[in-house]
Amino acid sequence: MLIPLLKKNIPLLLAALLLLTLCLILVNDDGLYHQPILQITSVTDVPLGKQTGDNGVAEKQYRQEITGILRNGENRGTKVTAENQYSESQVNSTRYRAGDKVFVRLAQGSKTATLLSAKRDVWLLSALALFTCTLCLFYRGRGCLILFSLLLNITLLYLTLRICEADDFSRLGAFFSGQWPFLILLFCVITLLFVGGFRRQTFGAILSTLVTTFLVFLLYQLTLSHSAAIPYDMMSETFAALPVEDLFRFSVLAGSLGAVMDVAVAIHVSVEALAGAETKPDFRSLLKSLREIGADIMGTMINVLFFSYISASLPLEILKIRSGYTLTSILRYDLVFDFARFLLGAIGIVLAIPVSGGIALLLCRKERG
Amino acid sequence: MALLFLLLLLFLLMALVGGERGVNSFVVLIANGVLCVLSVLLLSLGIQPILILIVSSVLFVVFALPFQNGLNQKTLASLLAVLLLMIPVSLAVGFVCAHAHIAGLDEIQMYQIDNSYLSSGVRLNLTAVMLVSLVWGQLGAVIDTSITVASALNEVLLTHPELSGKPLVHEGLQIGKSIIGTTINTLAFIAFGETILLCLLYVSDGYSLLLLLNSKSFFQQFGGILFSCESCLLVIPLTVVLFSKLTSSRRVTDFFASRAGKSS
Repeated sequence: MLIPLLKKNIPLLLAALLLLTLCLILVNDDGLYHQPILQITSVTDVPLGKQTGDNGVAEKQYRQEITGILRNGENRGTKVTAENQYSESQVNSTRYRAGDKVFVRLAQGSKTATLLSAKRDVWLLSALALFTCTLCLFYRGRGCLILFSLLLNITLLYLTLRICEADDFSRLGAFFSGQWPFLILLFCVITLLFVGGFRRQTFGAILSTLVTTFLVFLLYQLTLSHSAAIPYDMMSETFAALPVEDLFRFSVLAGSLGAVMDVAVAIHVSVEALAGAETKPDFRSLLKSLREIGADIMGTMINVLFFSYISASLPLEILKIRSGYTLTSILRYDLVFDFARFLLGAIGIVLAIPVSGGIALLLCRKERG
Repeated sequence: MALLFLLLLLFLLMALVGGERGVNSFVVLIANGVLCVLSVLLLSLGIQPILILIVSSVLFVVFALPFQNGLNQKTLASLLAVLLLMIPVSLAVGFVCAHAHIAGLDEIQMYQIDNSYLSSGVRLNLTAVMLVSLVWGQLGAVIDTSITVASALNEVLLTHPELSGKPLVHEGLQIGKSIIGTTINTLAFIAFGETILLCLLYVSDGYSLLLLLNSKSFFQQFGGILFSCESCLLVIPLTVVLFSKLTSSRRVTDFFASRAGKSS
């Protein structure tokens, strides 16, 4: 069974092999960097005693005596020593282990070095390679299309930010206050065309997505725009001089876009299938099935948004609670951004069900004349 | 205030569009929220994060599957698929977490004035906390993908009861192919929305590609999405295989048939 299966998949196996080779090259990509990279060969931890923080919790401190070998540059292969300090929880320090690769700054004479930060590209790129491999191996042509649409969207986002930023933020302000709907439109059309193909239901889904996104936008303008509920000044602290309110609105709408498209496609496909069935259902039973499908999608899709948004800020929240921040202050100043994004996204998902259902039914009617 | 209004609006819409099942989903959502807050509090007390991860994940899955969708063959298949998948995935993600040194404050958070008020004494296993965050981030998407495939496959089985074994698995993989695109895009757009400010910072600070690939903040944000996508890809074949095994097992079908008989 295995051999014919292998024979059938020769081009894909070759692709996988290519990706694996790429991975192997990446593991040894140290020569690409100008900054010296140290591979740690041995580490000795020396306890330094305890240090008590503002909240009265004491934490053990350690010094690490590190020896390693330089991986690139003219001193490649030479042995170098370095020192590192870390605290038990590693909030803003790192405990290195033998085998780690670290970016360093070499002292004069290249015998000692200062550690700067860990080298992480291998892990990230291997994860990326694994994802691409699985997508292309299991999902073939469709997988490649998905990958292509993702790349296109990322490039689009990058170019937009690039062009906006080039003009010292003034163009950025103009973009996020008035021109952003074009980007949303492009995202929507590109993604749905690649995922759904040139079909009538794709155009229906595009229309439904845009209508739903517009409704969410209206809701945002009515409730959260200029509302005291969103502490925008908490954002501008890090991103001074940016149009943070407009940026936040864009982030809300872009964040919900994927989920809304997902629902729109699902509803359009099912309505098409129901209306095209041999026994043509009457309007009432069609509405009933639509409701059932909607209830099916809604719960788990909302959970996707919930977990994705809530989990991202978790580590920082825990650090804050541990440092004595109250739950209310975290809710009011940190979690509120994620919560607002989640709520509007969830409302977008629910709204997308009747909107797509209605548009899909209209399109089917028209077809039948 | 505005947020409470939105929450209320969400409830009304869910009840209106989904009927009784919509209300049910809202209850699950609130339960998830409560469970989240509780877990965060327990985590900040310094209780073993791995233990909290296991308990909370199992509860989340149980809330979302048997509770929200009823106990039947399709929810049982996805329940098993999700739990079985999350074990090796958590181990792998934990391994990467520890070796890529991605726990703790990232290079941008470290210089935010707001974070300079953080205490230096925390005594927490932040790598494990990071793992909790990454696994939670995946759960919603993995559950959604799995139950969607199982439901669709169940519909296929209802119209073609004679299908079993290989043809059924083939059918399931076809369904998987048709839904995976939108799932991955959902995750990608969530990432776009969440990180637009961060991306702007990368562009305006002139991060090079190599710098970006080694940055802690980039890894925390995009690595997480990448893991979620990968898990969604893997959960589809697992759900399909488990579903076909469960429906071909006489004991399981008899069990559900007798349950259905009792309830009706």
